[in-house]
Formats: sequence, C-alpha cells, structure tokens
Amino acid sequence: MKSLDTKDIQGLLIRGYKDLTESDFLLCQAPDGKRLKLFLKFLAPLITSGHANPGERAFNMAMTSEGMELLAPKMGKDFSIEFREGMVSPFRQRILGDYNSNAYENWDWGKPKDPDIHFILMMYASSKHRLKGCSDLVNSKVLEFGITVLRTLHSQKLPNEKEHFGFHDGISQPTLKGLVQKRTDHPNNIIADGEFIFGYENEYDKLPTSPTLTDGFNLGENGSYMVFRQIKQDVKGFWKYMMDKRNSEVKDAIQLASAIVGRYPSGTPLVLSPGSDKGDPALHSANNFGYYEHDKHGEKCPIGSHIRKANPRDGMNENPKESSIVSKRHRILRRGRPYGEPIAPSMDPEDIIKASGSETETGLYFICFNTNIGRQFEFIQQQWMNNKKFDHLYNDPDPLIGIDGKPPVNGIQKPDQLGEFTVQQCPVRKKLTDVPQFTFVKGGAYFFMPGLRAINKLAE
Amino acid sequence: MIYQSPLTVLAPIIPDRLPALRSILDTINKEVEENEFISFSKLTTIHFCRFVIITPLNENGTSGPAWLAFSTNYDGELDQHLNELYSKAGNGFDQIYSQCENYQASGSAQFVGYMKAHMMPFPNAFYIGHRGLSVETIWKQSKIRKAIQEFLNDQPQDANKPLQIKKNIINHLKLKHPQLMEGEPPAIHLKSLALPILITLVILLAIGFAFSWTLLLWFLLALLGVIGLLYVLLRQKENSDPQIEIKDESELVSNISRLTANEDFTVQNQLTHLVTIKSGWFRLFLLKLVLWGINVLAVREFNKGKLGNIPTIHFARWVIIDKGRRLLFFSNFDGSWESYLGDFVDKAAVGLTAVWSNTDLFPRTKNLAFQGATDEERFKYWTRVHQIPTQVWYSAYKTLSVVNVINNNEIHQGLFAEMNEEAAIKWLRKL
Repeated sequence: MKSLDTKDIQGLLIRGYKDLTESDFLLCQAPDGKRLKLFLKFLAPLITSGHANPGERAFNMAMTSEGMELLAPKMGKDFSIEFREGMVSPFRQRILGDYNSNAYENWDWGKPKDPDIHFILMMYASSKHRLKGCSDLVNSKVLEFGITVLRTLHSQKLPNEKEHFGFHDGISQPTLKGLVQKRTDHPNNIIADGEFIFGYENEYDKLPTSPTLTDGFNLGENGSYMVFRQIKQDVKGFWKYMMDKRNSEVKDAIQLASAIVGRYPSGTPLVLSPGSDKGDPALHSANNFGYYEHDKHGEKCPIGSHIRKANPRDGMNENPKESSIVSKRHRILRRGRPYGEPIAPSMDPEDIIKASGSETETGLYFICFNTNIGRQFEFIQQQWMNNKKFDHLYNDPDPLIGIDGKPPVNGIQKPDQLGEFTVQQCPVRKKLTDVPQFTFVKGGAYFFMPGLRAINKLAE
Repeated sequence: MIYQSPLTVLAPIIPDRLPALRSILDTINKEVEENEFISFSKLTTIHFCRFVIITPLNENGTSGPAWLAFSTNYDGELDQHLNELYSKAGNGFDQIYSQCENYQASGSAQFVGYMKAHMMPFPNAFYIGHRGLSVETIWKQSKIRKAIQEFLNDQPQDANKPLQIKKNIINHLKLKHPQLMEGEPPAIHLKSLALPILITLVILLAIGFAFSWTLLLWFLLALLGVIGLLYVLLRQKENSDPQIEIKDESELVSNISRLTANEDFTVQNQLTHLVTIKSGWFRLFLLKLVLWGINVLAVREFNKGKLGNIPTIHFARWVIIDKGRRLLFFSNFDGSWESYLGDFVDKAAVGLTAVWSNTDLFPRTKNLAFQGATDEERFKYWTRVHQIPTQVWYSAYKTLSVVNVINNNEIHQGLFAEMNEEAAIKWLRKL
C-alpha cells in the first residue's frame, strides 16, 4: 500500500486544527487567470501541509470549478461532473434538499446570480490576535493582485467541542488507513485513504478517477473535493419544540433532543447508555460501537436519529456484515466549524434553554472531504439524511437536518412540510408527527483542494 | 393468489411520425396521472408502466426501424388488462399507435390484436419484488397501516400489554374502518428451489437405473467436458474483449443531464438500459443461459423482496431484442440512481456481472461473474453510457418502497393471525 504523502497533502485533510480556535474563510475572486496564478505563487509557500502540527496558525486553500476554468481551461482528464456542475442546479437541488426554506435562490452566497467564487482561502489561528496577523499578511497581496474578497466567513469554536444546539460534535470521524500506525480503531471505522485523498486506493481497491492536466500531470494526487455549506441553526426554535413536546420539563426536553441526535449533549451515544446519560466521561467521545448486536430494532437509539442516519454502521437491513461494508463506502471526513455567538457561554443545554437568545445568526460551516462527491457526500445527504424510507422507515427524514418537502416540479415550489420522527419502543413505537425544520442552508459550493505540488504547478 | 405479469410491446414507428409521437409522450409524462391521452390514475391493473423510444439498430451500414416500447407490470389476465387499457384510454392509445406502422384505430379488438401481434415473448428474466400483491391490495394494506398509525398517534398505547394493544387496534379498525377489515389477507404461495433440484436428481437416477450407471457417468463427463471447453473459450475472450474507458465527453454529460432531469422527484426511480450484445453465438448463448438461471432464481429463491440482497426493486426485466443483437433492461426501484447502482456493486455484483459481461464494453470480468461490476466507477460510467431516456413513466404507488409494501402485507396478515405475546411483540415492531 502506498503510504500517505503528508508533505504534499494540505494539513486540513490530516488534522482538524483543534487548538486553532479562530478561523476566517475568504471567498475570493480573481480578475483573470494571470493574476490568480501570481496570487497562488505568493500563497504556495504559506500553505500548511499535513506533515507536522501547524503550531499557532494554518493556511489552506481550495479552488472552485470556475477558478479551475481560469487556471486550466483544458484538462487531460476532467474533474467529476458533480464538481463541474457545482452545488447549485435543479437536479442537485433535489438531491441535497435545497428547496423550500433551503432554496438556493435565497442563499446569502453561492447562488447562481452571485459573482463567481474562484477559490477559498482558509486561515486558522490560535487567537483572534494571531488571526489578524494572518489577514494582514494576505491583505496586501490581495490588493496587489486585484483579488476581490467576496465574503469573509468568520468562525470561532465553542467550548467543549460543542455545536450551537449544545451537543458535543465531530466525534465520529473515519480513521484513514494510512494513519493507522498513529491511531488505533475498530476495523469498521478504518477507511481506505482513496475515499478522501486522490492517488490512493479507495474502498473498492481502485484508484478514484483523478483530474489530470493536458500534459499528463496528475492534478488530483494528494488532493480532495471539499464540500462547504453554511447551515443556519435555529437554536431557540429547536429547544422550544423540545420543551413544548415535554411540558416544559427541562430534563425530558433534553432527553427528547438526545433521541433526535442519537447522542446526549455530552457526546455519550444513546446505544451505550440507554435511558439516560450515565455521565461516564469515557463515553463522551465513544465511537467504537455498532447497532446490530445491542439495538437492531432501534429501541435504545431510534433508527431515524441523526447519527444513525449519518453513519448507519452495521445496523441496516438486519445484515451487519453487509451493512458495515456499505457504510464504509459512504463516509466523509468532516472539518466543520461553528459560527455566531454562543447563546449561553457554557453551551450546556439547560443554560441554552434558559438564555434569552442572541440576536446574531448562529450556525455551522459544514465542511467535508471526499473523492467522489456523488457517492459520498451527496449519497449520505439524499439516501440517508433526507430519505424518508431509510432502512425500513416510512416517513422519517433526518429530524435534525433533514427536509421533508416535495421537490419543486416545473420550478414550482411547494410549501414546507412537517417531518415525522419514529421512536421505536417496546411494546409499541411512539411518534412525533410535526417536527419542523431546525436548520436552514444559507450558502455553499463545491471546491477542489489540491496537493502542494499541484498548487505550484497551477501557479506556473 | 393474484399473479403479476410483464407485458412488453415493441412496435415500429413510422419514420416521419417520430416528432409527433414524442410530443404526445411528453404531454402524457408532464401530468402522468391525468392528461388528455392516458390518465393512468384511472387504470386499475397497472403497477408500473413506461413508454420508451428505442433508437434503430445500426448494423452493416443499414439501420432498422425505431421502436416504440410499451411495458407494463399488470395484475391478472392479459386480455382483461389490454381491454382495460382500451376501454379507459382507447383514444389515447389510438393516437399513440397511429404513429406506428400498420395500426388501424378501429376499436378494442383491433387494439388488442395489434398489441398481441407486437408483443415480445415472456422476458428472458423477470423479477417481482412483492409477489402476489395486486395494486388494489397494496393500496388497501397501505390504508390499513395508516389507520393503525392514526390510532396509535391519537391514543397512545404504551401502558398496555402487547396482546391488549393488538386487540385494541383490531377493535378500532372494526369499529371505524370496517371496510378495511373485510375479506381475508391475500394468500401467497411461494415456490422454492427444492422441486427443480429434486426433479433433476430423479432424472439422473432414473437414467442410472433404467439404462446403466456407466451411461450416466459418461453423460456427466461429457457435460463437464462441454463446460470445460466453454470455460476455456470464455477466458480467452475475457482477456481480449475491450472494456470501456472513462472519458468526459460533452455528449455524455448532456445525455446524463437529460436523464437526471427526470430523476428523484419521488422516492422511486426507473432505469431503461439498452446495450449491444457481444457478437457471435457464444456470448448470446451464455447470456440466455444466465438470464434463464436468474429467472428461475427470481421465481423460486429471490421471491421474498430481495434480488440477490437488493431490497429496493419493485419490478425488473431483461428482454433480448433485435434478434439477439441487443439487451433491453427495465427496472423500477426505490431511492436514487447512485444508491441503486451502489447496491448492484455492493450486493449483487456477481449476478449482474454474469449478465452484462456478455454485452459490449462491460468492465473487464473474470470467470463470467467476477470483477466487472466491482470496478465501481467504470461500471457506473458504463451504465450511464448505455442508459436511455424513458419518455413516459408511471407508478401506481409512488410513495411506497418495496420494504413498505412487504411490511404492510405482514401487518395485514398479522391482524388475522392468532398470536402469543412474543409474536405480538414482533408484530407491533412492524408498526
């Protein structure tokens, strides 16, 4: 097996920069290919590779299809159709659920009539002050080469790895086969490098089709497709719904929200601690578990809960072996970051429920990597999250982020529909029939994050 | 028990009528349930239906006619089905088939005669996801489940014991929905492989007893010899047959966007796939043999809702057309194309490779059934290259998955079955 060339791979693919809590994502446009190349030449030596821990700051970058068009209008082997078409199209809209209140026509950025984004510059730093240093470093060159920063998306991590609803986030990550020496894991969670990075074998023991330049240069090698989506979270609405459903009993409301997520706010999976959170810190990041043996009927953790839909593990179709193989072929590497002021500084749900709420928008910059957008990110979104028929369900979109709408026909939007959420139980299931949407897509694009050699080549 | 059957009609299109035909089919597809030609929602015998325009086969510089393929999965008798089509949408069918050669719009008998004259023989292989369930039954069982769901939502039962809950459900249905409790649930008899295996054994033994054991041995050796020869021939071809290369031609991209423009509006999708069979008797023979085998398995083994291990196919059929030159495939399935093709690779690669390895440019195979489809990207690319647009597609129950249909039937059957507590718990899990 080829070992991972971490010196050539951008750092964000190897690590999540846990300690770099501040970040800015700059959506940029270049006036022409020539100046884009000059800017890349300036940027290339700054880019953080995956070789070593970055220290106090990190730079990464990724191109859009429009940006690539400027740099390499002709390709030897082109990028995938998904990347070239981009996130926004009438077909993709049905796959991703970007209609009704997610409709891309209403996005803050990334909609068809917005100016083209050519690339994204991602800057991470350990403090606000250091992040400012990063900006200063970049800004003069931005001006010099006439780069337009269309939008700056700022993110600040929340305490205890929380997301805005108050849940421990980002626990379930695939372990790359090439990094196994450093990290041990269950075989079901060790995923072939080629699922996330071009130039290595994927879960089918094949090399994923990689874009190449006309001179045969393997542009994809050590690169990856990056999905970026801005997802607004209606924190107040989320907790109000839970409280309404549970007669304003805080404990019960948290229990219901946990059933929807599939983990307690601490991160403890319901399947390992059914009924209530045992409070065992060892379980807070627990990820080494399946569903088949202990919970094939979903009576501990509902079949339609968010984490079960996002990664069904061995729990689908009462066939654990096959389910594990299938699950391994639809994984993504997540690198999301929250945005907006925390509603309660502690990020404890009890405090969030009590808090009066913040006026600023809160949400998540959903960021993930894969080498086959159609088979990985889009599949998960369509077949698992938004699919009401997931496993043996009838009418259950993902209760946390799914959309239960009917896609527009002939361009005509239909009104939002409330979702169902089935809570399997003995002797008989319970059901919520009026789950509203708690998250709203506000922008997004598909990017390609090249390896360092490829950046230098493109800058030539 | 009700039988669901496949109808495939191929009629040659009058060359200069192609645009007119397309326009009729487009109009139908826009509002497939209700339109001026065929209002499908009025037809009670159809599960799934499609019209497909099949481009001519070009061979040796000459091209045949373009075909209009019409396909249904229908309940009951063929004559009854055809008569229903004409009695409820005769005008529409007349207008459609007037664009085809030799059709005279002069009444029901003419229509039925024309359809039968252009009907293909039973498909080389035909798969049914939910055997023995008519459209009417599927809808009735869906209503039963819905009524139970409403009851459970309105009157939570979790304080009761399982058998009591079941009793309450039955009482509620009898009181509020008596019509749903009328009649017995359908009796479904599934065939198994035991009989054909037994018959084969008996024949072999009979040869041994009646003639001589030496003769039987020679017979088996000869059979083995033939298989061996075929195998050598196959391996040779497998190593030299060209396979498809992934290219990004703009023509293909626009083809794909034409296909995807009709995908993912409901939980179900369809696929029409047309590919040239590799030339020569050898591949055609193998293909027919494999499809025959699949058909036997579909009837006797894969008859409980899963083809191989794929649980999402309502109906599928393989039909060899153009006198053995092309293989046509129709499928009605749940979920997205990506997920369907993924299932092909993950759960049924062997069977599907055995079929399509006999057709042009299929990804390289080994021993007929291996590799091939497991070359995931290449296989998906190959499938898209040979996929053709379906002009009209109708589903009678587009909100139900195969898994739902089968589960609804089990709920229905359970309502009428005596149960102990353990069985009742199992039954309640289906709700």
